[in-house]
Amino acid sequence: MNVDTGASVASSTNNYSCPSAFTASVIPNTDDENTLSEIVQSVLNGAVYGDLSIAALKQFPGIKLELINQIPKQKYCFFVATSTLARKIVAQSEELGAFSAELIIEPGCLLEYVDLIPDRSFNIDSVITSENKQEFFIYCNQRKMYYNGFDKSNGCGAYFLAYANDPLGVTEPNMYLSYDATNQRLGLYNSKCIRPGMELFWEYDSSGKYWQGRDIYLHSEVWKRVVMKYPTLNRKNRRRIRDDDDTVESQVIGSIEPSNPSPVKRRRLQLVCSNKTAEVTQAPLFARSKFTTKDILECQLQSDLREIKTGILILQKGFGSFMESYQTISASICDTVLNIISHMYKRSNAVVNESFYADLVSSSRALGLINEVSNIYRSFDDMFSTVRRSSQYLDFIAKISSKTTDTLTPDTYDLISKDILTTIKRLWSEMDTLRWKDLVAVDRENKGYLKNIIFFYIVIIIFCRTHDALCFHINGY
Amino acid sequence: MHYVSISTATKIIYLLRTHFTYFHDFLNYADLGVGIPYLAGAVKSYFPHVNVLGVDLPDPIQIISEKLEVMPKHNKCAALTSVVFSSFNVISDVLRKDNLNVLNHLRNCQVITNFIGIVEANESIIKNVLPNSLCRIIMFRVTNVEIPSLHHDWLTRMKFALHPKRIKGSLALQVISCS
Repeated sequence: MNVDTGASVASSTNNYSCPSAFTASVIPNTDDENTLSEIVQSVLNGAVYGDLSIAALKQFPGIKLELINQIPKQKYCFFVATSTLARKIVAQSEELGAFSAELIIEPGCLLEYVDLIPDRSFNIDSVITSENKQEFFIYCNQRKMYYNGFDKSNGCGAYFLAYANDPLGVTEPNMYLSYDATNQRLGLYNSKCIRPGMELFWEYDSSGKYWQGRDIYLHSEVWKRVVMKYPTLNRKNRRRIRDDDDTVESQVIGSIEPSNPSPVKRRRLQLVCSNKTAEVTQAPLFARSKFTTKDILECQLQSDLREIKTGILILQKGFGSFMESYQTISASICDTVLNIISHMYKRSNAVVNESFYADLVSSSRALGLINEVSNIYRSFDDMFSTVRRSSQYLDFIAKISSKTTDTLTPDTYDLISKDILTTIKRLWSEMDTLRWKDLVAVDRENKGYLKNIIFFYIVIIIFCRTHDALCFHINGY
Repeated sequence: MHYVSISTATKIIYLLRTHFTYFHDFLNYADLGVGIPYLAGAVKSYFPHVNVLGVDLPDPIQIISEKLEVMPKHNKCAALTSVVFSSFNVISDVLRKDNLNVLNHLRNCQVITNFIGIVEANESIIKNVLPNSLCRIIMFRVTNVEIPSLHHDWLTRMKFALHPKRIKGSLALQVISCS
C-alpha cells in the first residue's frame, strides 16, 4: 500500500477494495428531466460551478451533472465525467473519473475527506466478482476500520473523489491519501497544482495488491497496464494446475447459472488471464514501475542532503580554524569557503523553502530527510545569514554568475565532485576486493587451481608407488 | 576489456549531475562496450533511480554474468546486480530482430557512453540509435580515434553540439584473448 503515513487501501490476502478504477460505471446514466431542467435553469441564470460555468462543464464528455446536487460539497468544487485517462487506454471506455472545477494552486491542500461512511460489516475475505467488485473501500490503519466510498442510500459516491482513478503509470498521480493526525481524519490531498477541468488521480496501492483478482472484470488493456506496473501480479497468477481444478471447471461449465462463484473459480480465471498477459512481461528490460516520481525525488533529496553534509564536513575539517577569520585569509581560501557556503545554501534553501519536494510530504522517510536538512539549515542559519550579508559574499556571487564555479573551486572542495567520489569509492574498493579488474585472470586462476589439484594428486600417487617400491626394496634387501 | 579509473568516472558523473538539474530528466543510461562494469556500477550507485544497461560482446557479458553469480549477496556492489547486461554486436547486430528490444531501450536513453573506440561502432550508433531518440548526451572515445567530419555533421544535424568541456580520462585495457 502506498500510504506511508499509515492510511491505506484495504489489504489482505485475498481481496482489496478501493474507489473505482477503469471499471464499469456504477452510476446510472440518468436523463432525469427534473435535474436537466434545473441545470438549464441554472445556465439561464448564468450560474457557475467553481471556476467553470455550467456551459463549460457540459463540454466534458459523459458529465454527470446530477451528481453535483447529489454529492455534498466539502471544500472544493469537483465533478464527475468520463475519464480522459480511461479513454487513453480504451478509446470507447465509459469509465468515470473525478475532475476539479477549481484552481487549487498550493500542493498539500486537503481536497476531500474520505472517512464519511464507516463499514464495520465489510468482510475482507469475501470474493471479488463482477457483481461484487469491492472498489470503494478504503482501510484506515490508524482506526483499523474500513470506509465505504459508495453511498448506498443515494446510489452514488459518498464524495466526488470516490470516482478518482489510479493512473497505473500512464500519467503521474496528482493526489495522495493521507491521515491528518490533528483532526484524526483520513483525506485526499493534492500533490500538484490543480487547474480547473483537470482530472484527479491517486495511486491506490504501491504494491499492486489492490488489483489482485480484478482481472476477471477489467478490460484486457487495463489489465495489461496493471501487469506492466506490477509485474509480480502476473507471476503470482502463474501456478500449476491441480487435478481438482479440472473437476471444479467441469462443474462450472456444466452448471447453468454461472453465479455463486467460489474462490476456486476465481483462481481458475486468473490462470487463464496469465496466458494473455505473457507478452507484456517479456518485453521490458526494466520494471519501470519500480521507480515512481516520489522515489526519484527522494533520490535527488538524498543527493542534496549528502552534498550539504559534505559541505559541513569540509568546512569543519578543512576550514575549521579559518571560519572565524576567513575574510582576512588569502583570497583563494575565502573564495573556497564562500563557494561551499553558497552551494550549501542553494541546496538547503531548495529543500526547505521551495515546493520542489512537495510531492514527498506524504512519505515519512522523505519527510525525515527534509527535517534533517531543516535542522542542519537551522543550526547553520546564523552562519549563513552572517556570511550572506557580507560584502565579500555579494562580490563572490557576482563573480560566479559570470564564471563557472569549476574554475574557482578545486575539485577537492567541490561538493558535487566530492560527494560523487565518496559515493562511488565504496563500490570501487569493493569491486577491487572482489578482483573485478582481474576478470580473465580469475578464470585462469581457477583453471590453474584445478591443474594444481590434479598435479598434486599425481605426485601423491607417484610418491606412494615409489614409497611402496622403496619399502619393497628395503624388505627385499 | 577496458575499465575507467575512479577519477574519470567521477568526471563523467559530475558532468551528468550538473547537466541534469532534476533527476526526473535522467532515467535511462546505456554503456556501450561496458567492459568491466566500473562506470555502469558507479552511475547506478550515484543515480539509483536510473535504469542502467550495459552492452558488450557475448564473451565479456558471459564473464560478467558469471562473476555476478558468484558474487556474495548484500555487499557494496549491490548496484551491479540491478544493472542489465545485454550482449550484442553494435556494429553488425544492431538492427537484428532479436535485439529490437535493446535497440528500443537505447533510443530511450538520455545518456549513452560509447568508449568502444571503433569508428564503425560510432557510425552504427549515430545512424541507428540517435535519430528520433531521447539521447541528450553521448560520449565517444577520441583518443587514437578521430571523429570523421561526416559523423560530426550528422550529429550537428541532429542538434547535438560539442560539449565545451572535454573529459580527459583514462581507460585501462585488459586483454581478454589470452587463454
